[in-house]
Amino acid sequence: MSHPRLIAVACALAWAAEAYAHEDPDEPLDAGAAVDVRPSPEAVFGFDAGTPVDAAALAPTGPDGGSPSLEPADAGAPLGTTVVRSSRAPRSASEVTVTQDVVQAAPRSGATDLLRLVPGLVASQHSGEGKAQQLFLRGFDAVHGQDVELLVAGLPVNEVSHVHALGYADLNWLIPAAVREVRVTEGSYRAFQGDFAVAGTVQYELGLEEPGLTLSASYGSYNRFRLFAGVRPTDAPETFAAVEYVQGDGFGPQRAFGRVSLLGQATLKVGNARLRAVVGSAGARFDSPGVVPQAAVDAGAGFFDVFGLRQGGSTSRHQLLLGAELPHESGRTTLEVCGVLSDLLLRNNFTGYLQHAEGDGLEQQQSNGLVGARAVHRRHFHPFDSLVTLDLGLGGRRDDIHQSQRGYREVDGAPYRDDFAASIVQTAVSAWTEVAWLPARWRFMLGGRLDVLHYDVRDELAFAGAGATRSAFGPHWGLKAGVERALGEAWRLFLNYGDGFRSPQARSLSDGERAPFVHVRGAEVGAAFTTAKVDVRGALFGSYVANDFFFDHTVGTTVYVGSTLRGGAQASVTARPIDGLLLSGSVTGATAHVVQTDSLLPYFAPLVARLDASYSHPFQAWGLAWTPRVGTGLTLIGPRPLPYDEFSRTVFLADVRAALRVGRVELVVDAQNLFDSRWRDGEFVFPSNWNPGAAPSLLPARHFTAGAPRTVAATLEVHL
Amino acid sequence: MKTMMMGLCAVVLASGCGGAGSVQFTTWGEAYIEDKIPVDSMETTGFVDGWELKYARFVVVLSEVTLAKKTGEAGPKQTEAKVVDLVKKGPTDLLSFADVPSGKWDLLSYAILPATSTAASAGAIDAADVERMRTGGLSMFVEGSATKGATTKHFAWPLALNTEYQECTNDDFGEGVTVPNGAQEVVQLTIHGDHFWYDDLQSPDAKLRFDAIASADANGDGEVTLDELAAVQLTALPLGQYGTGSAANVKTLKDFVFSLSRTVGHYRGEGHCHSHAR
Amino acid sequence: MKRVALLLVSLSLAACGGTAQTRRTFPVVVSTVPGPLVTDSGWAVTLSSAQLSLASVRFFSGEALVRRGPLPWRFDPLGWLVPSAWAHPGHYVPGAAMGELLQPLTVDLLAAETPWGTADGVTGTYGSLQLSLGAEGLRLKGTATKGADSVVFDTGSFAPPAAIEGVPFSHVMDTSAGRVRVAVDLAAILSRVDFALVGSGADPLDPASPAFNGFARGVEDSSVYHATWEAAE
Repeated sequence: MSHPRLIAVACALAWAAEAYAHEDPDEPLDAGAAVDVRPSPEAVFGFDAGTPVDAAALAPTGPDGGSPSLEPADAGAPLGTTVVRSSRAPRSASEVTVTQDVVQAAPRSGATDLLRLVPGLVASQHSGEGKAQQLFLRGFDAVHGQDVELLVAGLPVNEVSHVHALGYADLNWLIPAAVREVRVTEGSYRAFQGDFAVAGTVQYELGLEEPGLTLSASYGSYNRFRLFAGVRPTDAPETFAAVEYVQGDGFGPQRAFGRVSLLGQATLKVGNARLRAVVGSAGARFDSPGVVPQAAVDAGAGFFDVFGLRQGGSTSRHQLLLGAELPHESGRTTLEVCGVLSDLLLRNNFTGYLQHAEGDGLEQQQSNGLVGARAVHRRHFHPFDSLVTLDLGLGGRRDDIHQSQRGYREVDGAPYRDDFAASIVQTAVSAWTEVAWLPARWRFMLGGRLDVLHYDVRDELAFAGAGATRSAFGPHWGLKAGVERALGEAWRLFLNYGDGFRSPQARSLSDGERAPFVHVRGAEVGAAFTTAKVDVRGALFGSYVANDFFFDHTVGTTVYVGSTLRGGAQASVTARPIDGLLLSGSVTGATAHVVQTDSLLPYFAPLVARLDASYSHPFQAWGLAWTPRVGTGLTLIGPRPLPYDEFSRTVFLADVRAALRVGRVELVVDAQNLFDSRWRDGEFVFPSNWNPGAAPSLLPARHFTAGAPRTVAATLEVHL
Repeated sequence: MKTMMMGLCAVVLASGCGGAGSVQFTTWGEAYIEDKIPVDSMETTGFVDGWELKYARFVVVLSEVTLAKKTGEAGPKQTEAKVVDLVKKGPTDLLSFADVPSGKWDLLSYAILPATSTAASAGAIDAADVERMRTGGLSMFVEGSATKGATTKHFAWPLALNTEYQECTNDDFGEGVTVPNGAQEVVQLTIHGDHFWYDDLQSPDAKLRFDAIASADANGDGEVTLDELAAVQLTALPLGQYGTGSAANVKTLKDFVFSLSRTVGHYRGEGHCHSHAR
Repeated sequence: MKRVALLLVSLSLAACGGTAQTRRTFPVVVSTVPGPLVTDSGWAVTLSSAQLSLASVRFFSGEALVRRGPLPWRFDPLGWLVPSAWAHPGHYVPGAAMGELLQPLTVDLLAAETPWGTADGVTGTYGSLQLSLGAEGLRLKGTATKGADSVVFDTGSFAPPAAIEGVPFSHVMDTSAGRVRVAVDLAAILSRVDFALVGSGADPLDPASPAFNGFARGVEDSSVYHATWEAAE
């Protein structure tokens, strides 16, 4: 169906639905995400000169239309009783914001738990507590990030042309206690969504929950030890500094890890301008037990056994972002520059001695220096008594990459084979725009995006060490469109279309492997019902990739499958029915097919469900404020298709939290995997041979990585 | 070892506005065909049994150069076979594809096949040699002489085998060819003249030998013919030489040389292709 | 709510379509190619014993580099004599592993047929197989006769140093019932043997002799093994 027809159908549907909706035809469209707020569209966008800055706090200003609040959510709001849960206006049914109370409802020990906040996202940690998770979303196997764009406080997380996997996104340095909200934009329907935003974009915004000083110490199962210190000097949650140190033995052999992370953010008002700075430093070292062959377990090996010595790695990341937000008469402009230095050393052996008599271990190294800049300009117009908004974004990014891969001997870890070494300079310049017209209770959006990529690659080992150079250059165009219709105060209908893309792997361009742009066309129709106490959303989505490929990064093989079709449905609910009770859940069903063979793509997650719930009931006793709190996080992952017509096992995990705060002291007890289920975090099908000298089976076989058993941790937290 | 540096190869990444370029195909026999195959030494790989060989003619019929993509997209295909004598100083221009959509064409194949009457010449080849290939339906004609001490043996072998070389790749240049936008890429189909003289069909440690070939001259006239090769059973040769491994139905020295003739086609120097007998 | 649940269930079941390939098993039997045993040098052979030690058979997607018989539209009068072609010495490309049977077996090739076992495999396009002989390899005993000459021989055990690669087996494997037959062409194995050139002796056969050379080359020759799919009736 062509784009204009899509929009016409949407209009027809909306007109039909309107016949059944109670509405006040004079009520202007509420373009804000705030509940119980009835500002004019101009006020929402901060264009009403008579509205104080407080209302401008509701104005979307960041790259996605959202920004850290200038003021506390309900302080000084001139618009009556207002409970503002988010300063971001969702532009599709699957554009959700997970607030800090949901983040804190259930135990969040690290990045995997933070990723599980995203509706429909499956995060698998298959190589130790320092390697990027493997992500699955909306029918896509995003591997380590190739189909999910991740940002933290505006800093890019995905690494381009990464030695291990395209779009490698290591989030393990993110301190869970410093996550203020999670902005999820599933699909690729917004023009600000860039490289790797094939299945969606997830933005973590930072901030501490409480002002003052917070100190905590935790100790838990398997010698897991954590220290945290955070300071929030003002009432603004987004101005803070925090440091976290975690170490542990791991729940089985060869799983020990340690990491330290510093994060800080500061916002400062200078006149009408708002300045922002984000800084971070982190390092981690981790061991990994490898991947377990199911046949070995069937023959008596342990579920948590090690296959492959000396696996694991180390990472470091140092980052800085400086930004300024400059309001002007008809809008605002945001300018940001950032720099990230990241290093990774990774050792993996998934196949044993299958390919090499010395062992198939691979040692991969990547050093990346990223510098980037971004400008977003937002303004409004009033032609013919209607509102037109224009967003214009410009961005540039340079990645200076040095990467290598070599083979190491299983017996002693000594390197014996150089596979490749490359120096890459990858430059990306982007420009995007969204134009929205808001007549009455409608919002029509049309946008586009241009990304131009430039590669300079030097393959150091080519031509017997003399080196080979190659350069590449090319654009990608993407169309975005959306129609929104408000029915009454609470209901909204959405229809969205977007082109997403994934950039090629530079190294593949240099050594001849084919890795073109992957272009994804996606569409979604959905609805949202939002009141003061509840937010319910539902959406049907689909996407099409013309020339898709399936990359099995465990064995490094690429299979071109032709065109693929993905689709599904998602429903999410966030409710606060009574004071102190929070329920937040989602269910996502998806399917992914190869068009030509009408067969399932392997590894995607057909059914994902997540529920976070918490209840707290503060009271006064003996002159002290008491706040007991309980919470739970439930995860259900349905069987996933594997190669050769197999399916993975269903995973159900229950995490619980119980906390009691008395005055300034809080004791928290967390239990993850409460029922101690023996579950498989990752399941794969590929051949391996761990018996050198024997005649190995070359047929692909089931392998898995063991999920964590029940872990319990106690945390003592002091707030000063 | 030559120091090579790839020229800048501007590639427009696929996004709907790709552009087009051209690909010039050349062929070259390198020093082994243009000059000689020497006696083996520390500096140069050569005949381990003391022979030195010089080609007088090394005529091949190259055709069906084809570009395609693993996605199934078909590209240009050579329709007119070219006859070339690789003894003449090269590289020799073979053909050119113009207006090829720029980008990665990761499947490149070509064939050495029997000439038909329409086969055209390429480079500085004698007209009589071209005519020989056409009238005889030959795909290769190799002529030369090998010398060891005071002994010289001459050979002139017509071959009509049809071999396709598929999925050509080079470890340094990659699979197939990347066609630049608005520019030309040059691709060399390299012919390795030493392959006729290997002493094993499967071992990567095969050596160059000529003793058995020379000894096949049953009538002692200094000319080793294909019929004389066919009369030599491999079982009569010294153990450890002329191993055939899993190769099917290779019994005589002629079978052996014919097998090797299907391995001469290479790609951009030391790159290789999967060869298929047709 | 019920409808929502049904929709979700149906979406989950939508995942029950199957990925492109599926696992299966199939029996493998070993037999010989019937026919007289006459060598290229004119010796008629009568075998008293033929013991073949097998270690494993593996099936691959890669085609053998030989097409049996000339293509009808391109007759190559000399090509069929040299059916194999290697891009470079030692450069057979097997492709993806499709099936395997990894249990050893000693076969009496004079018997009608011997079941080898059940191979594990996956559906898809098969192109070739790789045969690994056991430590004892092949051992033949018998009498070779040519005119008035008669030679009693025992080849002794010969196992090739490497697996026999690239045995053609073209078959699109689905889930239908059937089995693979691996037939050994003893005539082809002995074709190169000239029993007049047995060196120091034929019983046992002198390993330095041209006759043994011919026997060894025959055992290694991939064209002496014929693999076919026999559909169940």
